[in-house]
Amino acid sequence: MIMDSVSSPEQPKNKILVTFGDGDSIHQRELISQLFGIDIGIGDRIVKGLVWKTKYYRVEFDLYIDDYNDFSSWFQEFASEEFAALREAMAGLVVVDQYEPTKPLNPLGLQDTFVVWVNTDSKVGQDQVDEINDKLFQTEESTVELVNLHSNEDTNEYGEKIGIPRFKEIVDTCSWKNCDMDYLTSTSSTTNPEVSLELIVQRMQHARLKHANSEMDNDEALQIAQEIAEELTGKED
Amino acid sequence: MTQIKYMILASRQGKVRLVKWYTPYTPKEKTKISKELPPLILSRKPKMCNIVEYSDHKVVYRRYASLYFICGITPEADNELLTLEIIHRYVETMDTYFGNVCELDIIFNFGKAYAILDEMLMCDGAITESSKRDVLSHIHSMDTMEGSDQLERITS
Repeated sequence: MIMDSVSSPEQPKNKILVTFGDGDSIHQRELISQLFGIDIGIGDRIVKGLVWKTKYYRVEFDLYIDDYNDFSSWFQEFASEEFAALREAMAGLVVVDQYEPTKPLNPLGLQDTFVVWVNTDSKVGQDQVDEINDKLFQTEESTVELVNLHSNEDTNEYGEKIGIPRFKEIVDTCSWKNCDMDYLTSTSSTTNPEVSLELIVQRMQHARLKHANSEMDNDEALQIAQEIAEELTGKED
Repeated sequence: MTQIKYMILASRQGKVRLVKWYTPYTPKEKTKISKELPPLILSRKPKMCNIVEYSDHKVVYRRYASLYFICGITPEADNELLTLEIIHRYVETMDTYFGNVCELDIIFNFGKAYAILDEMLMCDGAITESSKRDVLSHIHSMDTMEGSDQLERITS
């Protein structure tokens, strides 16, 4: 199992550990590409400086890749004191394997860390996944969720994302505690994304100056104000 | 007439994304409700009734994609179906404002989500505005004023 350096309480939780039940690195590479939309080299175990981007933020994260023959012993090792530092620095744990109800999915009381089991068994339908999730949600403070890799649809009858889109949604909404996040400018429904604020401010300053020097009458000033307002709201003549 | 006690917005993973209290509760009671209710609602199957008895009152909830809108109501004063309608109207309004609202929109614009709710419900949990158009018009006016303030700060 891979190990991480010593962590401190303020350490950013920016590591995602993906563990596979299948040791085939070509298959692992394909699945990583499907889940995270990135290409990694065959045999890569730690990939640093990756970027997760949503419409509101972008954040750098490290991807740790591991696999196991026996999940129970892997999990026991992962839950040991030796890997406490890694657990503290983890934004999420992703298990990619056929789901078996007998396998433990105890989240170890991980705080601000998502735990997702990506089921690779195509025989397990979405109904079964929903049923398992219902049981998992009954556990207090459980953050474990099961998603189906082989899902034909992106949403279910209730408009909920399922399969890989749901996985992406979980990563999107994870807390990324103590991480350096680049907040991207949000555009609400009222603003026109095509507008350059800098340009408008320049025009307004210029107009203000002209008005102050009495080079512009009130009608002209009103017309400029109207034009700027229309530009800001995205209204076209 | 309606008198909602509280509204909690929880994610499918049980994380509380928004909470508004319309009845005075002690911090201990608030913690108890916010801790107990989301797992209780999340564990209910999709086709189960949307009205649940909880503690000394009733809880009306509705699920939209990955979000659960949970309202505590006074059984004597409130109508459960009207509460469901209020939740739906709130979601519709947010949907129009954000354009297909999702959990991420609420996380990063929680101020707007609260502002929309404040336009619809008064501080005692009674409906103040049921018109989606009017609510959106007020919110857009607030946005314009906010934008003007920012522009003034830049230009002055």
